Amino acid sequence: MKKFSKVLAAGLTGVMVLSSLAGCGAKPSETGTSTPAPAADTKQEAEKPAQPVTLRTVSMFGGTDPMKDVYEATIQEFMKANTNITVEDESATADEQWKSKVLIDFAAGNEPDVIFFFTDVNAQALVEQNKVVSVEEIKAVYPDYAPNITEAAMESAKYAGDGKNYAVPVRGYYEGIFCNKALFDQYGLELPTTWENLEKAVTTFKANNITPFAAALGHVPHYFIEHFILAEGGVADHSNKDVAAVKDSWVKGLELFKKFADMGAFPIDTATSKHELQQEAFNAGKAAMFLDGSWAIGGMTDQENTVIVPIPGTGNGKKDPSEIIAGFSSGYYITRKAWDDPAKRDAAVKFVQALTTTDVIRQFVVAAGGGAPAADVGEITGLSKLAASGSKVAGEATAVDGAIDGWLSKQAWDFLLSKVPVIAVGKEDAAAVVDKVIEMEKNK
Amino acid sequence: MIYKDKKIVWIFLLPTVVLVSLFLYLPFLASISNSLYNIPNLAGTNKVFIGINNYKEMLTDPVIMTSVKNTFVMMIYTVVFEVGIAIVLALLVDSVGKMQKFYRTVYFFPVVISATAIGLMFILFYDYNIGLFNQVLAKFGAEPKLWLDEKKALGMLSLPVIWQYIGFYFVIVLTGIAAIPEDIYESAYLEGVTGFQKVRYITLPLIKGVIRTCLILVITGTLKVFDLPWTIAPRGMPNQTTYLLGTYQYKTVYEAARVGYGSTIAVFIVVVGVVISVIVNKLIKQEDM
Repeated sequence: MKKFSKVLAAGLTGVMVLSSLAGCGAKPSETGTSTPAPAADTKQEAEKPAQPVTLRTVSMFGGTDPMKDVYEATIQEFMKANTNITVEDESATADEQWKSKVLIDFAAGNEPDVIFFFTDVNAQALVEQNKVVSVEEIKAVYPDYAPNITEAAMESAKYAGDGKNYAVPVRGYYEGIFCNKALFDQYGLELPTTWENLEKAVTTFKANNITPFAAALGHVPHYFIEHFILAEGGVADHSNKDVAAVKDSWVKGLELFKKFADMGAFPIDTATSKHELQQEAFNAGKAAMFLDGSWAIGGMTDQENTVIVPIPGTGNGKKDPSEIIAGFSSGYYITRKAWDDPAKRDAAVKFVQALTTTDVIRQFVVAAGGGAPAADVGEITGLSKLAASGSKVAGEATAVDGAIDGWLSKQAWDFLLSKVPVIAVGKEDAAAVVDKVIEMEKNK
Repeated sequence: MIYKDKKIVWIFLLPTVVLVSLFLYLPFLASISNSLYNIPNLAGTNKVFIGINNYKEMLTDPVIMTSVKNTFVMMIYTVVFEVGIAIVLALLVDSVGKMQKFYRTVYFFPVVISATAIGLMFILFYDYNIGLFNQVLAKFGAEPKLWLDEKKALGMLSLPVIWQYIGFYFVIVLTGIAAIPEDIYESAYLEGVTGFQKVRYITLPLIKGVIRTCLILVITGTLKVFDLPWTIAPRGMPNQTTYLLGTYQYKTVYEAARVGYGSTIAVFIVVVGVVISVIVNKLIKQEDM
């Protein structure tokens, strides 16, 4: 009996240990690295009934993203057309935490099969660790992969580290000042197309208890960082990745936080509020201006009386009034894990192809409120007045540059983000912050 | 001892030893190792050995000092209010003959709600424009207040933390009170002991052990507080003034991608936690609680 108890105890212990560790292992089909044959290699394979496949996908088309509906509808249509494929969508709103989560998933081997992610410095770890497949490699097996994407879009969406395309872009973005035109008209103000107009608008709105800029500097100061440096140095300085060489524009740009804060440009709770709540304050007519990108158009309640204008130059002649922050900075990746999985490769390719048809791209551009489509979609109709004004700004830009966090190291960018509200209240000197950024960039 | 042969005890302990080693001690040892490197990304690639430089940086990092100070302030708040209010509520509910189950459920309910949901709820309480608190003020004709300014923010962050866990300690204390034999109270009643005297001289002395457990749990728990403050005021809002050790460590690793330095902070948190636990244990024992 005693012997039996020992055997039973040992057996139970073994089962507990093994069952608790079972989840740590990967299925053989997921870890296989052999290169499978293309789908229609043999007649025998083509005649086989399609095996059920589950694809995990992650995108930034979650939350209040205007493209969410198009994205989800496309997935549903894809699953209807491919009954053996189930798509598990794990989309969420893109913010710093979401980016970190994606990178952690990749680092831990828990990456999805298809992901819509950034093509800039954020993709560095994905490319360097060979976690995503280049478009070139995919085209070698599937020559019809992304044939409709324009050369210009593919060029713009290249990963700067090695000059290769890994992601298939869908649409470009642009950023600008969203203005409540009704409020500007009510107070007899010109839209902020010049620096004088902008400063006059700030002082007038402040004097009339209307928040000039709906801004959450403690949460999402990203757009202000880019636009203040752009306003000071134009695209020429903004695009210069040698921060030390354009230090003056950076320092003067960041000093505008203090200047504008002193003028009362930002809401009283700017250091603790959330970006989404500030957009609601703008929608409610409590604020006159809101700085964001084309993806914010869908979240604007008044599509008739809201217009987008480029930030004006500060008056030192470095910035052309039409210059804006814009570009292709994201696209669909197929992960190495899915590519090396014979059961998933074909499904992943089909899925990306379904998400990047010219028609879907057109729908995305309409939903996003204009911006450059990655394919030739013809004339875009159906844009709201707001979207049309944004599209006009994007179309008239004489020069554009992507966002700074597209190339600045994550450490330096995070440092800069954390210092913005501190600079705004005058606790830290903009020049000292820029010096530290330069040092961090040197040591990266 | 039920089992004379101790081998079987070890066999039963094995799963726990394996799991705790794999998911607690091994990561801790990895953190000690990582704290000696500069690791610029979450994948852990391109790491460079820098010796104790991360520890040197930590000694001069002003945000660490803020985090330590805030963590200790929050610890005081939770000890005083979380345990204090829990004891008062437990004493009150114990004296109510009926509806004890109802009160238990009501007070315990916040414990089972997700911290993120509570955090979002408090964001909507504190918001300057649409927040509940300012709407109440407006009803009474008062000016809106900035609830999360630099002076009030830490207190405002402590409020939901305290609110959520009062119920937890309330149940522990109430269970402790329920375990006191009824005949002690009956004897006291015959001696003419009144309500307050009953609490002062019988109930509280007899639940000292329970209170000690609550104090140790609340103090060590505060060192790990992360979810609620991060949801309401991420990145040390406002102006890096509300960082706690947990939130600063998370931000350093997952937002700044400074894995080496974040590991250094993690090691520091463990050291502080162990030191505080030892001190608290000794202090409470000295007082013969």
